[in-house]
Amino acid sequence: MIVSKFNTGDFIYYDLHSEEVITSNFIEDVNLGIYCDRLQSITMERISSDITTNGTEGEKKIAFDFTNIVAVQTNINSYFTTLKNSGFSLVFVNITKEIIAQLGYDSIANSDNINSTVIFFDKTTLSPLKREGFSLFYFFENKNDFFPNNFKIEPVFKEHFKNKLKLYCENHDKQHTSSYVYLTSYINIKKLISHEKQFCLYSIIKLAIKALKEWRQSAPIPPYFPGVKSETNAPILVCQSLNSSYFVSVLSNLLKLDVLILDKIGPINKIYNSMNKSIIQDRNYIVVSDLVCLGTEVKIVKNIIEFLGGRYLGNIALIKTETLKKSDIIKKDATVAVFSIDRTNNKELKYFITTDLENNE
Amino acid sequence: MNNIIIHISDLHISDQSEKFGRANKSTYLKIETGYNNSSFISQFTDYLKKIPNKRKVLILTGDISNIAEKTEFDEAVKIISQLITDLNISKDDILIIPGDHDIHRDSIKNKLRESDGATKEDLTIVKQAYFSDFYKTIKGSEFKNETLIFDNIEIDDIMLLGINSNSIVEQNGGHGFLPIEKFEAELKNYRETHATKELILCLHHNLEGEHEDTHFGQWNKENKKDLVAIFDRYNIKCILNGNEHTPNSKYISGTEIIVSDSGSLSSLSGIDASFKTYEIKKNGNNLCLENSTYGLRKINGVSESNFGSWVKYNHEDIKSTEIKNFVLRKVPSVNKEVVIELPISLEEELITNVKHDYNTEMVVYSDEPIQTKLYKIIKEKKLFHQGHFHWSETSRAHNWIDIARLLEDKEDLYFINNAIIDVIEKMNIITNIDLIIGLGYEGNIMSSKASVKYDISYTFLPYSYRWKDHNEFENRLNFENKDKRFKKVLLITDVVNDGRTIRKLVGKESREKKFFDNVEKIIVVSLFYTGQEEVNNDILNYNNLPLIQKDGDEVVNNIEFYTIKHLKVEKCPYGENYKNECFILKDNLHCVHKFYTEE
Repeated sequence: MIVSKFNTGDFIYYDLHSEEVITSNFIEDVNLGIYCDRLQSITMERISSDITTNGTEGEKKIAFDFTNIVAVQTNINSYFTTLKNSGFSLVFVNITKEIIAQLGYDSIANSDNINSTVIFFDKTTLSPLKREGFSLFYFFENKNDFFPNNFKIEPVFKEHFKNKLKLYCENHDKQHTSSYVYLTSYINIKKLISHEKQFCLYSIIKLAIKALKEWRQSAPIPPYFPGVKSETNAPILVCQSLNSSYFVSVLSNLLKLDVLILDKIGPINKIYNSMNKSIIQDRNYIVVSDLVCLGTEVKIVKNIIEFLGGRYLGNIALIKTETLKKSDIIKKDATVAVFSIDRTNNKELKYFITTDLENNE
Repeated sequence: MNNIIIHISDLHISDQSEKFGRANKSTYLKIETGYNNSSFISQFTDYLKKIPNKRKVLILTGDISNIAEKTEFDEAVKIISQLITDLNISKDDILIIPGDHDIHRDSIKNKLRESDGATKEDLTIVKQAYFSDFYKTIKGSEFKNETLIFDNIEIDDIMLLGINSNSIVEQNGGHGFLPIEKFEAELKNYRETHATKELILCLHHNLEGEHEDTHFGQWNKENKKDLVAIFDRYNIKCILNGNEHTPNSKYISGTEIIVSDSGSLSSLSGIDASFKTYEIKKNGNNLCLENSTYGLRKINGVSESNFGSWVKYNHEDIKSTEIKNFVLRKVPSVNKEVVIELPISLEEELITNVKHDYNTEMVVYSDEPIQTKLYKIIKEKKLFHQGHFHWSETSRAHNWIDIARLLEDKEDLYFINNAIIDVIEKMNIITNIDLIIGLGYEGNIMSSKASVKYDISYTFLPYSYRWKDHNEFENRLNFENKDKRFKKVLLITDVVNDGRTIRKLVGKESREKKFFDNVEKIIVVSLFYTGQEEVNNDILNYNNLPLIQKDGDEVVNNIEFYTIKHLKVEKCPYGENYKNECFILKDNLHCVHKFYTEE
């Protein structure tokens, strides 16, 4: 199963770190979460098998993104050599010179290769670490113009996300279950998880990286060392719905954080389990949601946490709805999400929030 | 906890001075000024110590040295002594088998130079002289040059036989070979004196080739044909060998005999260094070895030692080269249908009294370390509660396991996700599964690893008793099964009591009956079984329920069930009139926990 494959129209893209995260944590037992940074041959085996089995839709150009990969297993170059021998043009993105040397490609001098400083984030401090490398590294071919120098995967990912969401936006035209407004569409996240598992997993990995960036430098998410339970106030991921329970489970594995199942808050609120709901005094909590529309359920959970003495650190979600102008959003209340429904795309998604009140026209 | 066999091979301890021959540069174990082999061995034994076992035996299938020089065997004494001391293995629990690299070719040449009339027996003694000295130092007994089967270890119902396959390895090398008559006579003797044991042959040369185009490995072709007939005659099912430097296991072509190579313990380049363990699993009269392969991952990162890190390979990733279970003894299952055809009254009696006492094979999951750890977490976190717990009008108990809290700690959650994987792998469940379903919050959380590891569709559903607490989108399965695409479904949940909740989900019109009507087999995997029956894979089926429980239940008979731990809970003893009869409820003594909304 491959999670990070994108056909950009000009080339096929694979994010090697995301694939390594899947291998290390879900296929093998390396148990380092998103902190794993060494590309294993088993990961390349999966990718090679994907190319052989599922094909590349006729595309013969492949970009391998090495961002966040610090080292590679020996003999991994055989996979790239095989692809080259099968007629594929390859480009490595954000690769260190150290890895190039390990792969045995340090004798290749292609004028299209772009020297650059590759930046990593220290696992402990998240401070940037600089290493010499290439933002683009080609093999021996001439005319390497298929990969734009300024290419970013983010817009491609968002476009894919929007197109996928269109498939799972179901006509609703009922009132919102938690707030006193009407919704024209219901975005069926459960169906999205069921039918787009690979894409959802890639999105959850992206969400984990975002959460880490949000809360590592200010210390709440501590560094992880397997088996060491020294972190005293690491945040706890709070699950409050059936959909979010899946996200919480995967995120716990990726971020190495404990979880709290707060029964059911939204779309229908029911809390049965009155025993041992262990909100711990002064402990940090991150509420995990599938989709945050108006944020009512998040506020309910926030209030429960704070009422019982915990600290609400923030909210993360796969999707958020930006009903306010960006300038009016208060940073600490902002949901960290990998996709936003906002004024640039809500019409295309047929996602409207209405009330019975007259518009001010 | 079970006994384990540790299989290592091809150490190729090499003198780097090249005084007497070429040095092997591709080994971690070497003789070089300033180099110490003990840190490599310590890392290996430190890792092995973590593998739980009751008793362990060590099999070393040859090529201990590289060119069989005395200096290499002197170093081998230090290395093997450290290894068995660290692992606390007695000298009787180690089989040391010579490989072709343990044959000292210069000694053969010298003997031939000394005397043209040197006999084969003379040469056999001189070519193995350094190995024999090493052997005696470690084992405390003489190496038997004169026999082919020179040593043995008994463990459980297994006898491991140490075999010398170097008969025709001479000064110019040579393949594996066993003189047929002599070998058969020796093997026959073992077979007759140990009739109830499964004999496993341990030797150096590979009978099957992973790298060769032919199927003859590095064995004399004609000799192999004769040997295969002998293996068959004496009911040999498994052979452990070395020589290939590639971990693998396979059947000897055209037979049911498994050959297993552990790979090289010290390989520095090319294929990763590796070793194997075989856990001896006995269930009734079934006997098998669970084959686990470990590799030394050379990642060149900052956090590993200079050698890399030992990791256990996931079977799913090496299934093309490794057989997971070496079945040594299997009891054929008996058709259970005969019980169902009996008259109803008698059938009920049989089901209650004899259900798991007839000649039916018990099919249950068992892994003591996992089961013990799971129970330990329950005890330490105090998650087994007493009180009144109600899931519906008819589902009431005096105990409850708080699974939500069990899943809170990230390490416990990781362990539980892996425990589910272990059940799936050990019981060979995943083959032909078309859909995985996590049931309830807890089931959904416990299934995440399975949902990613296996490239199979995944979805989740609320518990049946919580159906009304969810909106229509949460209750939908989101998969159609009109075309019978989903024939085999895996359902993962936290706790199963009598299975009524599952039968409801599957058989009730208002749940997912339409989908499940076209499902041929539903496999249920749970963390806990809290019911009263003896655990077996068929106990959740309607036909196997006691008559009294059948009333109002859904008729579902295609469930196969596996659980990790059986913890019986006390059911509420009051009947339909429990609200008036039970003083706790009647007098509102405040220890009633309802997990549903009363209508």
